[in-house]
Amino acid sequence: MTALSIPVPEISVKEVLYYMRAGQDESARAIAEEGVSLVRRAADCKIVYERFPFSRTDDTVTIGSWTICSKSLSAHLKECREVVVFGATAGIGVDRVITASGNRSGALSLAVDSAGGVLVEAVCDRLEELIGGKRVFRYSPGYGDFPLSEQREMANLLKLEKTIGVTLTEGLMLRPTKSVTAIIGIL
Amino acid sequence: MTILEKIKTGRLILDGGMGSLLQAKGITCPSEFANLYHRDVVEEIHRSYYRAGSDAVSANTFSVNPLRHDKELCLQMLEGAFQAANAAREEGKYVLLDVGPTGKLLAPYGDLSFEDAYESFLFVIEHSMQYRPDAVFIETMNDSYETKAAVLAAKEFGLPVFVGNVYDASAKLMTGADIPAMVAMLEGLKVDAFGLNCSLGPEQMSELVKTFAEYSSTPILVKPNAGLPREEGGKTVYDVSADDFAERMAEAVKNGGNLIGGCCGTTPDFIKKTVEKIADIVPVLPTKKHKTLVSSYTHALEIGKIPLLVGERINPTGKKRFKQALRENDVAYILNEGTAQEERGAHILDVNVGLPEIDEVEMLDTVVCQLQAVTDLPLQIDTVHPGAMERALRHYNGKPLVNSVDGKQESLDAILPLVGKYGGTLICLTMDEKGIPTTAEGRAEIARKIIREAEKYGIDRDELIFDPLTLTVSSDANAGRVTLDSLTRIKEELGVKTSLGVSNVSFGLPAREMLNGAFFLLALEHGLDLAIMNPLSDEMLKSYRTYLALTGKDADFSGYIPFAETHATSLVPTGKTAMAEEGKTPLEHAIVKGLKDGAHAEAQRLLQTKEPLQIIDEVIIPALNAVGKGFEEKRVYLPQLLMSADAAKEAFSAIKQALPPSEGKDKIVLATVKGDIHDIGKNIVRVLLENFGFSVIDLGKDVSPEKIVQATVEHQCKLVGLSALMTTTVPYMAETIALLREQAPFAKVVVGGAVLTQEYADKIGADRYCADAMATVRYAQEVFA
Repeated sequence: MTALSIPVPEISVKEVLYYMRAGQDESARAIAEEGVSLVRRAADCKIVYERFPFSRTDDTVTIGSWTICSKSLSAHLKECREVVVFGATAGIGVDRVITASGNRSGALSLAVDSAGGVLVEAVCDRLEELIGGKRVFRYSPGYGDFPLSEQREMANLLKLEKTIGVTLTEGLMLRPTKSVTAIIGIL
Repeated sequence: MTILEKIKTGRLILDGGMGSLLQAKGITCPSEFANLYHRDVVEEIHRSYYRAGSDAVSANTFSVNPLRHDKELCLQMLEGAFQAANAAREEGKYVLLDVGPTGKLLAPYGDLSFEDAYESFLFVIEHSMQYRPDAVFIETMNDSYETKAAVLAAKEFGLPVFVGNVYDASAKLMTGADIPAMVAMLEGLKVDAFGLNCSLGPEQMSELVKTFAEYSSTPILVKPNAGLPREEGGKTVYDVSADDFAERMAEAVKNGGNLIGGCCGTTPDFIKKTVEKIADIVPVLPTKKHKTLVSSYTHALEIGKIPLLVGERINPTGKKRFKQALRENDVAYILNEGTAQEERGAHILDVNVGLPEIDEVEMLDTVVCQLQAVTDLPLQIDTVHPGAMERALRHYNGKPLVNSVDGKQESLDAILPLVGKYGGTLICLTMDEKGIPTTAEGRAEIARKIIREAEKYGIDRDELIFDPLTLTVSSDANAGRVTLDSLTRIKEELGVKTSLGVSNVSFGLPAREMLNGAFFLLALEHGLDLAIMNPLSDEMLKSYRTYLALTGKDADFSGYIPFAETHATSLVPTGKTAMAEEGKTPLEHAIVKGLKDGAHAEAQRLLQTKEPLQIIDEVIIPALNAVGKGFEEKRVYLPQLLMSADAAKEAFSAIKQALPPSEGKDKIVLATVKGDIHDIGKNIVRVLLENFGFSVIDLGKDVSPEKIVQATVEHQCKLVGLSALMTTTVPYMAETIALLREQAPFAKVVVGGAVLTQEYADKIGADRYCADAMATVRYAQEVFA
């Protein structure tokens, strides 16, 4: 298993504006930039990943002793020879600036929240670069019929709490908020 | 020899890894289950550590916690773990109760409350006492707040407490605290030894031990991993050998490490070689550092280096608007008072929410916890209510300033035990049963008494800051002089730090700011360390910035120049910020375009010619309606809508000062439902509803059905808004609606959030689904029409 802290990747203001649903409206650019700069300063990006062999049936995907019942995931991995299971986070500092900005300004908190979202996706992209090879897109618990409840298994497998400081709430949400877990199929 | 006596010698050898050794012996179940099924193996591992030279081993209880396993199972695991450890225990050696993290993140960012975390630790520690551990070792904690919960639980049983925290390569915990912040908090809690474990290898840790040694007066614990892990043939291996480990640990010992051991990947061989390597190194005993520290969950401030500013604005005294906020439970207003002071350069925020007609215990607790979600400044907890003080000290994440104790026996008896238990740097007022002495010597005498009393509770004079009290010069022309003399005298004679509430001096005189600024400057020159003042006052900041610049305390002028620049621009008239478009008033324009500063200034200007309510009805609401309509017609996008809302909020804040406190507004309860911690959507809805004149009771996120119903009934709200982002939390939304129907049938329920649809909303019995914030405003207007 590889666990790393990585430098904060570029956060595209254009992407942030898209997340903010700013449409063609350029007047939000300044506030999007402020959101990006707050998030950049607060971010602490960490990733953890591991390659696994896997087997599949039409309804299930099995990684070691972990069997996931999901037709859509199985179909998604049809052509793949192995999988990478990963977790990524932008860190708890981002949650702090989201809360703090929410108190100051609705627009800014939207910008910060969006910048955090863009950031964690950029962290995932960076992780995919590290993995290399030909891949199918990343697939997370809760997507398609990949049960959200598998989040627990993900957390155990990757020791998320210890490796990157990500914990689960009772409702199976990831804390810090700007965190992602997923499976990537390697072709 | 007790374990504490042993530590006083400067060295205690701990053990190394457990999990990796179990794995090596072919045990694949999680370590804590080995206590049930492989007790003999656990015992043998403990024995091998004692043989290798460990003075103390940690019982295999790291993951035993009722938040991880059910309680009955926990009890069995504890029994097994201690049977193994006590069977292996040798004469004169020690067994530690090992307490690991809960695996959950604490509020405000996670869903575990501080008290639930505390209870879970209490359960483990309480049920371990029968096995007579020598100390509690709280380890691998990556959150300062969770660490505090565990320490408080451990302290209930009178055992020595050791703490190991997980620092990353940048020397911070996962949740942000640096080493000085942890030293401040843990010494405040009177932990017997603390330091670092896990995550880092011995080389990195040995460096960080130096930082501990610089700040800490307490023995330092060092338990590194065997370097970095990597996979090899399906097994985890570490990259530092036992010989290299021992070599590096010798460095750590020379740098000041006292409690020495290993964490993941280390084995008895690592311990044995380390013991041999350090045998001839004389232990470095910790020395008293005489630093006066306060801390938040990220950083510590050292009082006494350069004078620091304590923002005094979170205080209802003499503030009509603030009192109103307290009565209406408008925490957002209070939080804004905090962040506004932070922006003006306050280092610490005073928090006083005392008002006779509110529940101060609850309110202070809420405000302290919520402030710690929006600012990382250390806080000064300011109350005369001992119950409120205790709760706030308990739930504060870090080591706060405590305001205050005085020389009255009643005050000493109430406050000192609290500071002794929870830690804190204490503001001491030099007054007693007889009042405030009129001479400097009289005030110094009270200071000496407080120092003596504090010692009884283990509170060192480094933890005390003396406030010789500022009296108004208008009632006694000599009052300023006596205060300044007392300041110098107390500081020089008693060697303690000083503070003053500066603003009192001018009471009853005109142009108070001018006097305050000048008195502040004098006080700084007389040795003031901590000024409790208004950071929004330009005069005060001028005194502060110029003083530092002129006395070599701001040598590169990095404080003065930015201040001077903003000061220069604030003198430029701001009237031209919002140029009117055709047919629109400048205020309308500012709101439509989302210009915050312009909106504030224009609203103030309009107040000269129009009545407040007239401005709201004729300008602000039409402007908001225009933007709202644009949003509904998809000509205006969400950020623009919110920027306009922010601008309107600024205009309101300018106008509110001229408005009488409003009563009987249309009240709406808003909440993100239980289990859900995403609240941005709900916050956007709140901002817009407030803009349109509704009074919003925002219950926050992760709110139980009972609490929502209670607020709805209490305020007789005709409308309740519920938000949920995740499918997993929608059942709580349904539960909340069902309970509302039963107990508050008068209330309509509107729901929103990413996963909701009209269909879903119908299914769970909501009155209305609103796709966005404007739709919610329209629905509210319908309900209250």
